[in-house]
Amino acid sequence: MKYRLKIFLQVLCACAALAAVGYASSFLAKIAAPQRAEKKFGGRAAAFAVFGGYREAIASFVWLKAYLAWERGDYQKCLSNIELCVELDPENIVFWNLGASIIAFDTPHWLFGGGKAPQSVQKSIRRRQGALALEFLDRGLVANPKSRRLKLDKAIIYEKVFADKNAALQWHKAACDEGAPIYVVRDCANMLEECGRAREALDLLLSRAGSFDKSHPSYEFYLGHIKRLENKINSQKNMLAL
Amino acid sequence: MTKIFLIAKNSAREAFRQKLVSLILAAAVALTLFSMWAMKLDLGHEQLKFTANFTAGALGFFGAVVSVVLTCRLFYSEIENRTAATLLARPVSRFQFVAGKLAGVAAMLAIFALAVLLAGAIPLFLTRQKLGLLPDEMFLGGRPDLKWAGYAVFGFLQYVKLVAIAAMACLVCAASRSMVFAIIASFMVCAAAVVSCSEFFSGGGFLLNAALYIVPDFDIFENSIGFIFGGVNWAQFFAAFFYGVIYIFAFLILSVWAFASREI
Amino acid sequence: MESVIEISRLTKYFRSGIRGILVRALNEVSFAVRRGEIFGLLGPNGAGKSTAIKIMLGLLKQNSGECRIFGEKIGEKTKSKIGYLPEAPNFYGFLTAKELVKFYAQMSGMRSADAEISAENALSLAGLSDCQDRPLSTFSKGMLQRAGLAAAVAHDPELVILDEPNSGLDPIGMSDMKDLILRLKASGKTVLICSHMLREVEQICDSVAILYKGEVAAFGALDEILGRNSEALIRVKNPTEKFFGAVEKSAAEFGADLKVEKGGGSLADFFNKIVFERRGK
Repeated sequence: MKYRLKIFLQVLCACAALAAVGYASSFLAKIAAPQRAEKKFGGRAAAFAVFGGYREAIASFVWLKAYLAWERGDYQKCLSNIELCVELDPENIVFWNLGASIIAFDTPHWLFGGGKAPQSVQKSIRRRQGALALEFLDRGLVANPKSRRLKLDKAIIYEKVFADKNAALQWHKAACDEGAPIYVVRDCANMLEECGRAREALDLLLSRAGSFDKSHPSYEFYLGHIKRLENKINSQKNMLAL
Repeated sequence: MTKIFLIAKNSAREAFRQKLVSLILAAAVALTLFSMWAMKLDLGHEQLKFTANFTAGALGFFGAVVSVVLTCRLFYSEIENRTAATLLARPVSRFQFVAGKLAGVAAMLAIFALAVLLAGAIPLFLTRQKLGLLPDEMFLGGRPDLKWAGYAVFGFLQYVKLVAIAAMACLVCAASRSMVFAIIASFMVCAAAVVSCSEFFSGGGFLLNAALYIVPDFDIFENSIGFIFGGVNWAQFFAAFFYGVIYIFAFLILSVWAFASREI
Repeated sequence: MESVIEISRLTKYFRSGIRGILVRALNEVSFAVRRGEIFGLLGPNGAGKSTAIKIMLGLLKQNSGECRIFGEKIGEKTKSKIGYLPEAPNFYGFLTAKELVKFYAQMSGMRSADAEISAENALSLAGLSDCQDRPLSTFSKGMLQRAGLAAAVAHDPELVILDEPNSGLDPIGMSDMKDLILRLKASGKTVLICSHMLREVEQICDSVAILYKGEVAAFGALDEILGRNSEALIRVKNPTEKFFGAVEKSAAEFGADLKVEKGGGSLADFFNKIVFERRGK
């Protein structure tokens, strides 16, 4: 009994010493990896954490499995593999982007029962899957807060699934930050126009015109967009005057 | 120090002759070079980062295997062959023996890390050359830049992590009676350290939090891969370096304490 | 005469298995080894000889009792004066004989240059000059034994502990080993031999201690134990009755107390007698 107690006390002392060292040096860990808190491995991904840098390559193989499940229309397997992918490699925008598209636009068709479900049920399923896709994108934005792609994906889902142009506009605006490429600014302008805010759309285009390279292939279309909006606003003014 | 150096030299020579270690090194180098072809699997990963991650994976995964297996084999071969008894019958302290063993493993790990880093530099260099031919518009987030100084610093920090894993395995060996048990236990602790358990269970009671501090958090070393592209953040580097060094010494001291009461 | 090794009421228990059952290896063992003598530590398998040696070398800690080497507790200073050859030694196969001996000499505190010269001398003493640059993995068992002996004496220790020095040696090798040990004694060293080969031990040892199941069954100078001072054993081949008569008559003339026993008495006989007596108890 004494012998086992002695062994137990020795193990306890060693653990206490290590715990003390861990606690004392925890501030160094926080300095060394401050942004680590967002990347939490859960469930299955934890098992792959030991592979370190190979996680990205493993995520690619898992994504291929997700695609195979997508081809078969296997809802559970496809979603399960998409989730594992984003857990393994949360910084890969493609997984979040394609995953959200699959959830919002493809999975409803698998759940429609071969198109036999009534329209009201189909609409309900679309909205439910759309909500799932939005929640999925929210997690993607936690891991990638600066991603314009994911913000645009949210805007598209609000527009196409929920027909909520105002919510879509909010996300277009969020994506349209300083340094946004031409197509993002134009999309935002289009959405403003659709929401009946053509003046705001024109102001946006004019304010960003100087930041783009004039030799960009889309610049000509950008200028054309400005001209069209100017003409639209002017004709609206003329009609009001009349 | 001379005695520690001599024991380390012998241990390193013995480590160099371990066929299993050579095999693991060959696999790590091969997989690192394979990243050039694996990029065909590119599913939106940034190519340079994808390539760098193969080097990180080789150092992290295969490096951990080498650390644990080599430490356990070198330690137990001395005890089973009774060369430990012959050595400790001389005026050699238990500290000198354990420190010498760990230093020998560290020397071999340095060779391993260097070989993998050199192998990883080849696909990185070639990928950068290839990307250099592409126009700027192809890079939505800006053209990625490779910093070789950052790459070297990243490699050094990974080496520090591997030596810390070896020191942890040393503690397990000093306390356990069989090599198989030591290897399995070391791998389990290593996995817990790499997965960073504290991130799962934060917010628990005092005892749980205290228990979580027992296992070191080696996941912090993964952050250094950012040095390859964004340059070295010296605050993070020194924090990670000293974190690793503190744990190396802590495990070494505990190993000596456990080994001191062990009957040879 | 000064004692190099003093063991006093040494007791050692081992814990065995998960339940930690106590196994007694040594029980109140006491003996002493004088300076300059060759001492034999004998006993059947499991008697506790290796345990006693390990305690002397500081590899194990006793549960009670005292062990003093050169009048002090075992430590770095005392270890540097001890040379040790383990039983059936294993060495680093990738080292050459010279590298091995030099390594151990440096471990005992010698400087590199001195250790190199000592290694060459020690290997020459052990008869391995010709193969000092060969890796140990190519050595036979006997050659390893010699290499081990060279490593044990390279740093010129005052006390040499040899555990089964004749293990793996052929008869010529055993004879060479015997000569080596006598040479060590002649140079003023104290030698402790642990061996099963009683015939060889009998030829060279000055004192012995016989252990049985962790206890000292007999201890003392060899002559005293075997009664050599007080008795003489004369071996005669093919004695006749006429011879016995002549001997008895001669003994009576000298006033000697004569007892004729057919057959001889040796250490082996004595050893067996002791062990069987103990087993009977």
